Amino acid sequence: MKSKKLSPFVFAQQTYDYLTNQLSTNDQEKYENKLKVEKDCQDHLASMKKAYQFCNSLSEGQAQDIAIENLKSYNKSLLFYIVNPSYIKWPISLFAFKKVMLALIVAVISYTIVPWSKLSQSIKQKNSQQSYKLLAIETKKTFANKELMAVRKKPEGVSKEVQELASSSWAKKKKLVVLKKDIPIDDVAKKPTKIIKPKDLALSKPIVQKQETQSPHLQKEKIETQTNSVQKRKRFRFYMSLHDLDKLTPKIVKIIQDLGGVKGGSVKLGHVKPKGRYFHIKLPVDNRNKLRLALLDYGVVRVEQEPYQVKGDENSDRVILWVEDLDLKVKRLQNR
Amino acid sequence: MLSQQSYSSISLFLFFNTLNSKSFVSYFQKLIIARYKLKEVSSESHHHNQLLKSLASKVINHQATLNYEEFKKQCDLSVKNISESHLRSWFEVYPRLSGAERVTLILSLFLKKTDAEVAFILSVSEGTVRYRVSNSLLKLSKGQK
Repeated sequence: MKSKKLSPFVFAQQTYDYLTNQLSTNDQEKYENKLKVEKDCQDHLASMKKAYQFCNSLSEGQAQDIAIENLKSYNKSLLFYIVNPSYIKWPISLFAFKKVMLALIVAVISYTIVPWSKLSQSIKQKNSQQSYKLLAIETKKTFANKELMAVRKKPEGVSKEVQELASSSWAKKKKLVVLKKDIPIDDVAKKPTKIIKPKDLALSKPIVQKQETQSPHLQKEKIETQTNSVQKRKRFRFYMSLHDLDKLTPKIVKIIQDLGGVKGGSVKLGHVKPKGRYFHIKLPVDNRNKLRLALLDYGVVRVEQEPYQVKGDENSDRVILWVEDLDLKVKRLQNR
Repeated sequence: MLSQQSYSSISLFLFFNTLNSKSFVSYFQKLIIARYKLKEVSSESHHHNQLLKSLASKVINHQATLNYEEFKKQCDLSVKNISESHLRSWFEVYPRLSGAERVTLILSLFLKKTDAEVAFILSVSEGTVRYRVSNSLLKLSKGQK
């Protein structure tokens, strides 16, 4: 009666569990009871067993060999050795690098045998001859972003080609200007254009010369930038911690003034801040070290330096002296 | 660093899944990329399973779009004209299984991974693993009749 309760679907699903001995004792009993009664179930189990054995046997034998062969072929690749350098076995692994080696050998041979200098010269000649056909000057910075191109009419020889070029649609697109013989090229040069003037067109090796002209506006800007030139210097920060700052501050100010120092910022020397005194000093270049030595009489001076940009011709050092008030610090700590 | 055994196990997995040396190598290259994406791993077996996990998803995704005729063309001549009866029958049985079933069967029965390991690799429950294996065995048994 128990066997009838087990449906064919459940029986089929439980077959794998039965084969791997993963059924509970109750389920196994039910399964075996059904197996005894129905012949179809026995056939099903037999075919499942066959399939199970087939799968178990498949991973052994030829499959393993083929897979390992594939692995070996992969092992021979350069990529594998790059990723797994510990697998390199000299000299067998050199075969993986055969393409690289071959390329290197070919490169060395070609470098030694082929006369590259002569070849490059001939290529340059060809290029220069071709460049003559395009006697065009391109400009990027022009009035109102308009491209102006000037073409110097060639005296003899290639002039037809130039004329053809100038009348072509390409030239119209690029706004090419063909200069007549009577217009000197200097007139064009007054405009802010970049002009290439062929010096001697009759030469076999043409020489191309670049000329840059600047508008008065640009020249003015240049002059302004020269006067406002920015120098890269170093700003020095001195740090000190002292007691009795009320008494010491005038003395420090006097030392600074004796060394030719004046206030560098907007506040006076010895400006009172909540935690100490602040000195922004403009000091002659040679006196920075003298100031440090003078301050050493009062206490330890810690020096730091940082990049600083100076406008104009300033021949003085910027020193920022920060003196911490130790009396105030002690009070603060006591209040805590 | 993976041991030679792990490599051969992965190569076996790829061989049964692809039956094609070209895609085999391409998968191995993906494996290298996957290896670099992995960070710290506790043990080699865990590392191995992680790699199989990344490969399995790629294999299933690729084979979901695979046509049997295309697959036949892609398969190597060496696999088609194979002498061993077991492998030939795998070649015949191959298209009857879905990608997920095939990968589960290979991992579970061919590579002899435990259900927990297969579940980790395929990101499914152990019950799903057993169901898939059972189902694919049923299909195989029907095909062998």
